[in-house]
Amino acid sequence: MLRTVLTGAAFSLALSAAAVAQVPEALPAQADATPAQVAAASPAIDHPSGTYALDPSHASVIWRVRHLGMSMYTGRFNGVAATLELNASQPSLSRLDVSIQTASVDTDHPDDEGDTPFNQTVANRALGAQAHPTITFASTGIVSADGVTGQVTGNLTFNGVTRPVTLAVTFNGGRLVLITQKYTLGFSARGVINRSDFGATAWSSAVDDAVEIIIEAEFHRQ
Amino acid sequence: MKLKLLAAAALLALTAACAQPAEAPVADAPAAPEAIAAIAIAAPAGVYTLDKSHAAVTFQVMHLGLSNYTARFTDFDAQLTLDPANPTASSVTATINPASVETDYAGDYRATHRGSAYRSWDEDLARNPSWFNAVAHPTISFQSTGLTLTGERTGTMTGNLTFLGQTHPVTLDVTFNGEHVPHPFRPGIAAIGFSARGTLNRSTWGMSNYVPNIGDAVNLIIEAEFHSAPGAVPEAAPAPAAPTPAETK
Repeated sequence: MLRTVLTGAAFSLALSAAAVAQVPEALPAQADATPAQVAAASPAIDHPSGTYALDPSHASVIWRVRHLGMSMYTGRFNGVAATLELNASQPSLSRLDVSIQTASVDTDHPDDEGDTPFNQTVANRALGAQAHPTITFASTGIVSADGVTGQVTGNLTFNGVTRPVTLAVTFNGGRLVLITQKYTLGFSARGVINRSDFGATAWSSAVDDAVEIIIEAEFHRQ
Repeated sequence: MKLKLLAAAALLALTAACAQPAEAPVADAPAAPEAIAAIAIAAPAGVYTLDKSHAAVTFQVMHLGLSNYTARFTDFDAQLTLDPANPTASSVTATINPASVETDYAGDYRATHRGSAYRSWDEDLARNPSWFNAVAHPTISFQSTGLTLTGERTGTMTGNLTFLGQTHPVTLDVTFNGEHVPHPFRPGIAAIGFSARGTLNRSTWGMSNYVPNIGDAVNLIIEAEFHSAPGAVPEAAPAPAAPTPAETK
């Protein structure tokens, strides 16, 4: 798939050679704008409205937590699905729904504890995967003053607890990729949550409460 | 190599006094330079090995201008020679197995790459001569050549990166995050942790496949904890700042 996309891209795209996306800063604050304010603050964008689905081959959900004050322990989720309903004329009326398989957490930990893979230990002990096999995010508000950077606020349901979370999002761009014939949108997002807000406090003496979230995502128009 | 390090150390001694912040591309003459002192390091001098359970080598590369494709290596090692009395004299060596590249490719590679000689996207990336060419070049290696301070916990580490058979200099922005003397779970061992960021152009090493549709610039995101040799810390004298065993259970 990637090779196919790339071959097409090599013929079709007039991409800037220096196309390096700006990575947004993490945004821990909660947005509290009213829908009217949000709509006024989010100008139309020149991309086709409609339903977009995450391209999981070009998507990444990474989390990082500080370990013993010495390093940012880095893991990810490999099972991620998402749908974006894009309203291009009124982007603030767009809607994002994300679903993550809790047990798809992946740490590359080299040492398994006994017979239990460490990823399974993390899933069950730190993320509540047995009782709550899915982590979901449903947007409740999208705002962008310039159509490039903005904030997506939504309800994150994790470990059985639902709370509002705001992500700082950069819209990297959108275009028709000729070989796939799919209109593709690309985003980068950053956020910080306190895992204790969701009742997730495993290893809290060694691992900080704040969880950094680093998301890269491409979406295909359906 | 030792000569190179000595030369680098001499150069560093000259430049340490006029170290500038890494993100200050100012053309004008800088203000009067001020020597930066590193924060005191309690960990003892010596050779430290990587705690592979608490280390990550992640990289990102722009894909079609749409997203920062994110992958990592899962098999790597590093060694830190720490000089706490003169931190900029410390050095790092590291090796990465390029065949350990891992992308979590979500598609059905075999179905969508029917002509491919490889079984998976990770294997394609690892072995394809246009990518990491790991059969011909089974090791990526890094040897630091110098370290200058940019703040009491931050510095710029220069080094030689050998990749695809070519050696070129790279620069990493490093942060000393913290240390434990002793490690709260490992009596007798000191632990020290760093973050590093850097950007390199892969074409410099001859990997120009699909540039610019896949970006030339590769962003490196490195996290690493290191452990001293066993017995480096007297077990009867824990540092007061470290959590007690009771707190960490």
